[in-house]
Amino acid sequence: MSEDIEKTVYRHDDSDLPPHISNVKRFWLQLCQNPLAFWGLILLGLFFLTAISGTILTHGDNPIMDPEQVRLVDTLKSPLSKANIELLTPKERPLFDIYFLGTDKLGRDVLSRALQGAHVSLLVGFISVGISVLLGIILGALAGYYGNYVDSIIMRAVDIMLCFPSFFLILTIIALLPASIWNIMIVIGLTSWPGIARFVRAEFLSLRKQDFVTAAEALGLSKFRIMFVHMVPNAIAPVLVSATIGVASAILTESGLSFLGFGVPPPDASWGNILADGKEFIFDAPWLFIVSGTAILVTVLAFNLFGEGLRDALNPKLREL
Amino acid sequence: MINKNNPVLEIKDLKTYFRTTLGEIKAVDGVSFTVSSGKTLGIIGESGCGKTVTSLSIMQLIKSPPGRIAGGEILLNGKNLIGLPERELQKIRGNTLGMIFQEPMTSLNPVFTIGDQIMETLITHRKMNRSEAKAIVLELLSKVGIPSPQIRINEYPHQMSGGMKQRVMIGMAIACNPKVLIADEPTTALDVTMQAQIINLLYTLQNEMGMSIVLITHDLGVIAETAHDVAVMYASKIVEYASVEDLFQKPLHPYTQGLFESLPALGNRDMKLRAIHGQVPNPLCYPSGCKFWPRCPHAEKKCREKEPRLEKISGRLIYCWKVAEEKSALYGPLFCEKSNKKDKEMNSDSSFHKELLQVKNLSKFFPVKGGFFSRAVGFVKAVDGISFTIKTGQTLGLVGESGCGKTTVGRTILRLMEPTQGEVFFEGLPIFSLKPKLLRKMRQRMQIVFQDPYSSLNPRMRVGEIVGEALSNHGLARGREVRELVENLFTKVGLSPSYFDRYPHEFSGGQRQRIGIARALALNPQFIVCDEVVSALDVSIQAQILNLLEKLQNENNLSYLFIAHNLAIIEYISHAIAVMYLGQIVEQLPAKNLVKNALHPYTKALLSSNPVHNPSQRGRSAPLAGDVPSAINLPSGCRFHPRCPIASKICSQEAPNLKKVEDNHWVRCCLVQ
Repeated sequence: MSEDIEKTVYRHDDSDLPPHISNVKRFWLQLCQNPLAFWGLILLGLFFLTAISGTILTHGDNPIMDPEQVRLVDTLKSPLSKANIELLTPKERPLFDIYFLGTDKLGRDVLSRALQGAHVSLLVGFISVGISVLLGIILGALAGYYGNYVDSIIMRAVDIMLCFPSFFLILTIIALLPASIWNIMIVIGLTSWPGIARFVRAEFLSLRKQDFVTAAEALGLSKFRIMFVHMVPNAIAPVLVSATIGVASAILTESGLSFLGFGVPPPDASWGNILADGKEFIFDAPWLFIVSGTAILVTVLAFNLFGEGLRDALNPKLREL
Repeated sequence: MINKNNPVLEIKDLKTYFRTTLGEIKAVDGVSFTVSSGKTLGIIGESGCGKTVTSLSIMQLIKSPPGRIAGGEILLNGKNLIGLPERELQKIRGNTLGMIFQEPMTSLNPVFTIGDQIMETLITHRKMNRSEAKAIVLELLSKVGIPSPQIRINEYPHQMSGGMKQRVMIGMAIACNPKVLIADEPTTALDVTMQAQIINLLYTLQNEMGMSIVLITHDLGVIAETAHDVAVMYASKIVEYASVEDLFQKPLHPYTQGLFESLPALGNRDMKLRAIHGQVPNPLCYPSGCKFWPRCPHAEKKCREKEPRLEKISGRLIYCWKVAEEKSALYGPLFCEKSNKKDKEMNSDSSFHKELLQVKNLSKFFPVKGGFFSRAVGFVKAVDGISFTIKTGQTLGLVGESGCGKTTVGRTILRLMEPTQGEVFFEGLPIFSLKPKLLRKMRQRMQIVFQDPYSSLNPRMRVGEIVGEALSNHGLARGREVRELVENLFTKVGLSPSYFDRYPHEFSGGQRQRIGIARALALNPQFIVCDEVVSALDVSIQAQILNLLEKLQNENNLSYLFIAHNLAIIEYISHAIAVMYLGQIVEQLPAKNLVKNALHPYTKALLSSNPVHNPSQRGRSAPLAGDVPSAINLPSGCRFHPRCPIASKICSQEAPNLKKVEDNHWVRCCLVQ
């Protein structure tokens, strides 16, 4: 009898912990509770799919859909109109002989241009934000961990960066550099790190006082390890949120630059320059600005919604468990 | 007998549930009790047992969703509060029902003066104008013992100490002469001396105003000093409900017995603590049958199958069919036994122990910055010239009120902070002049365990990694070996080795503290600073951790610097005790002499502030008045003289030195010869 009890007692001990939920699952549950964030995520998924399939369809020497193909016989065709098969060479004919989203003033297929633009936007968004996040984390971590002079120097640099209206700073730099999509990404990346550095520094200042950091110090771990293995993963949540929203703003910046003619050099398409092309024919060919405008709007909205949802899901204060 | 005459507040079969993504939590499940006019009902139990939810339910302050009151009645003067419209409830809250919260730091609004905050309730409920209200507030402030109320009324919360704020909270709660005052852990965040003052205040106020109090606490001492009836809560239910005399004379329920036996009492250090095994179950997966059986030493098959009902035995209610059948307390595995370890230690010659750590004249000042270019305008003398030695295999207990510099001492010794002055020798090596490389090596020999089990573990790392990290980092083990060593450590501190891959948030406070201890032990140190390691834990878990620390000390011949504010715990675990006040050691003596031979008035005051587990001794006046002065403007002469009950003229002029009164006993007081 008593043996039986002992066994049960022991077994109960082992299951003392609440059921194991992996961090990923917890995160997912939290995200799903916010319908806007959930739909943001779905839209983002669609955006990724479009961008990736767009890359496959529009890249290479002989692409399935050629965004650069000029067809002077089929200029400013409205969406879903049939291609002028008799006058086009086989190479010039669009996929299925239909312009799903119409053509522009040079007879280029808007669908394939929008697809190529999605790829550009994705690239710009992620690479420029990647650069700014990397810089922001390193500089913010150094400032927050060491304090004193290191902190003063880095934070004054941040203040200086924030003094400039960043869009005009970018415009100036772009005007001086050769036009290329890579230069745009680097310049956007190099001008948008101060916000992230501030976030990381603030997190580090509060983490610095936490006992687990003192414990790591007491264990004789190196400063580098304490900073980047122990503290950065704990400071990453607000960075992720602002990075997500940062992607949206990078996409907007790129569109703005392209619209002004400083962005992606022609003949490559980006949503910004499709929009710029469309402004001359705003009444004659409204699909030009509707397609690119909607694409920008939906993508930016999706990133922002997802960022909001991420903020809730990553905030331990809002956690139930 | 339980008081049932003139009931003011009656709770009948209250059920409060919360909906979560993982299922419904029954936070309060069928709780009933009665509060008589002018009496105090104490609700005691460990955290997570539903005490606070009960009090919030009475106030109808449960946030919905996720919470809801699923059943029962709350009768205030015979009127059911459940289902009353919000407007009606607003008239009752703060008027007939007053409430005090645990954390005085956050329960006052920082942007209003305290006068305005108290006036607000009066203006709302009593429809007074400001000048009438102000007169009453002044009266209230002096009633709750706030000196010079005329000045204090215009102060903001940040200008007051924790104890003062708690007094203001009490003033606010009693402003409208409530019939019932609900006090949720009113003294938990305070020092013992302040706790004694607040308990005394509540006691006097109750006698003057004749109000009823529902006092929620986890501290048996506070219950003994204040309550008339006691309800013991465990896992959302009341398990024992009795008058305070009955309960303290003989607790009947095994859980209540366990609570009593896991608490160290002053002057009783030879007893071994009988910790209750295990921990409070997660409300999502309560055991079947009796909620307490997995931790109960008397559990039988029937306990697992059938849930007991609250049954009446000799004037009290008990949630245990076994006690009900036998009509008396259960004896058996739960009784105090003498620990043989300490006897051995006391008999042994103290010179047998080698000196491991020597602290000489240690000081740590923090600059106070102000003015242009943040110059240092003053210093907080957190630690001011402290010396002591710790011997191999022994524990030095460092005790004092919060803000006296205990934690700073611990961290400076380990050189986690740079000292302002002084020297520390660890096995003869001067810690403060070690080169960084050698220091990192020394860190293997001296470790620290922290107070807060939540912030001391990196939330983003698996617990196995947390414990094993230092092993691989110092090159003591790699790969498979690390895992094996960590699993051994887990077993050693009483955790299942299968927890390796879990994350800290999945563990309870006590388990996390075990992980923290395992991490400190990983490098096989000789000396561990235990910085308030048990003060954030429940009593039953506290006893488990104290026993674990003792066991580890015996096995590995460890030395501890044990920092705490609870004198009973310090006395229990230490071999020698140092009492700190405002950065200085005021008395140092062997632990076994603490109760009999303490000489310094501050030590004596701490001893008598500690709540006595005897309801017949209540109503004593608090031994120490006032607050610890600021460490920036230290009092002249003896630092303790403004609060000292026996201070004379010489005390304010002459700063006393630490005098040796007998072997191993030093006192810093002008009046002690």
